[in-house]
Amino acid sequence: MKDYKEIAQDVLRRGAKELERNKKRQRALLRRGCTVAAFGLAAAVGIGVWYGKKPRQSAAGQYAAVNPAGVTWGKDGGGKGAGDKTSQGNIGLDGMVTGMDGGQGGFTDMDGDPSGYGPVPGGNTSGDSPVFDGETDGGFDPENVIGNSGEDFWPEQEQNQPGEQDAADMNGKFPDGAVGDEVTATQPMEMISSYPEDAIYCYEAPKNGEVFFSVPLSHAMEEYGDAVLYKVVVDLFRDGEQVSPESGEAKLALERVIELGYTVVRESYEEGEEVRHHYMLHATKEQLTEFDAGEEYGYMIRFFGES
Amino acid sequence: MDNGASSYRRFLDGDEGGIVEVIRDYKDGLVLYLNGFVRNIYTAEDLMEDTFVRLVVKKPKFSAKYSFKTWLYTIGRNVAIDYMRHNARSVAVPDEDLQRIGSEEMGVEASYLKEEQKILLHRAMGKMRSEYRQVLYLSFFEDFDNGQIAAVMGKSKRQVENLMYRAKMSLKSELDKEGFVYEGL
Repeated sequence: MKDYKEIAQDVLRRGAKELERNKKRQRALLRRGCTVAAFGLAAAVGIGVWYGKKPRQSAAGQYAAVNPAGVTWGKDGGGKGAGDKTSQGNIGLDGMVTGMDGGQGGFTDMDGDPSGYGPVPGGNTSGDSPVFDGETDGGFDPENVIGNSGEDFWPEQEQNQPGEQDAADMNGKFPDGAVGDEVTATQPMEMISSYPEDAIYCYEAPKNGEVFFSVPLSHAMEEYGDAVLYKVVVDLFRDGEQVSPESGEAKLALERVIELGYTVVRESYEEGEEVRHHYMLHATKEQLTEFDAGEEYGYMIRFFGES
Repeated sequence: MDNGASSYRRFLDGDEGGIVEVIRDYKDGLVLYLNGFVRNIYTAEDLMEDTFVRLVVKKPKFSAKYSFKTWLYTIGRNVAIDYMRHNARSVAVPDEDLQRIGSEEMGVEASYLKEEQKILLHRAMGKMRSEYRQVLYLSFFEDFDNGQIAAVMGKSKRQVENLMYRAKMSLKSELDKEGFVYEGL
């Protein structure tokens, strides 16, 4: 048997070799790990860019398709004139709803809206498909976003002048925002307000306690999931008939939605020489799918300008 | 804290002399203990070196729950089990090697066990099962109590007590065959 000093020398030599081997192995692993991580990062960035571009591309496509019809989109910052807004003439929705009760007020106010649903199943729609740029909206000021503030955020029920910002008047706090500013400039997530859809859909009015999503919105949620915010119009129905967004009843109902934690914006838009209002919801897919309708009203949620 | 522990602490602090002292103090006992597993003194010597290499490379922390020797033998046992796992097929040893192995083993026995009676006892244990040899070796030659043996062998105290009883019975019958009496049994 070897002397203990020889054994100790052997042990220390072997130990040093093994430590060196371990270090080499670690360095090799680190190199491989870095390579794999770099590829992974590049792939993730590529996918991210691809995904990030997708909604914009589709919205831009819609813009290009609609613009030849003469729709002017408020992108000029301080515009207050009708040219900054979508006008009914631009949208062109002649004879779009059948079976509508014109006396209901609320729904007829939405004549410029091409959603095409009505209290009578089978109401047909026709006309062009107005679509909005995914990032801009005439007459909408991102500053006007309300909800969860706990403040008195609802505006007085008064008719705005064409081109004026609704929420700016709501409590006197909001400045006259630049009409048509990019919504996404102040949003953490990209917001879409349209989805390309060739077909024209007709919807039955939702019953009390029901929530309907329009087909384009459903398709958008399928495609983009929770990657984007959806800027959608909320139409309120009671016993199969639409509640006017101008009414105090609608205001109260939407207050409940705000109390549920949703962001609701009251927007104005022009129809010819008249200024109309509607309530917009800024929500994620999860928020939309978990939307609690309550018992008193039915909700139709759709993109503005969809057919 | 025994000397082994303080030497090992010195080694962890960067003094290579510490591990040299550990090797000096524990190599023979460890070889004989590991020989109980592999029944080959050369392999046991290699495993003893592997045990110390493991200390040098991994620098495991020693906690004073048991003695340093108990802790070291536990590492040695793990090294031996690893070896046996990777060398499940036993290698045939040529006759001339067997003779050399015998003389080498006797040399280690003589240097470590010293007393003739203990050497005879150790040889009698060579014919027994591996577990019996281990438990008796740790008890008779390393003066471990049942708790320490349980820690080294990875068994409960109760299992060690049972194992010890059966091992002593087996050893007694072996010694009876050779007409040898050991007072410790």
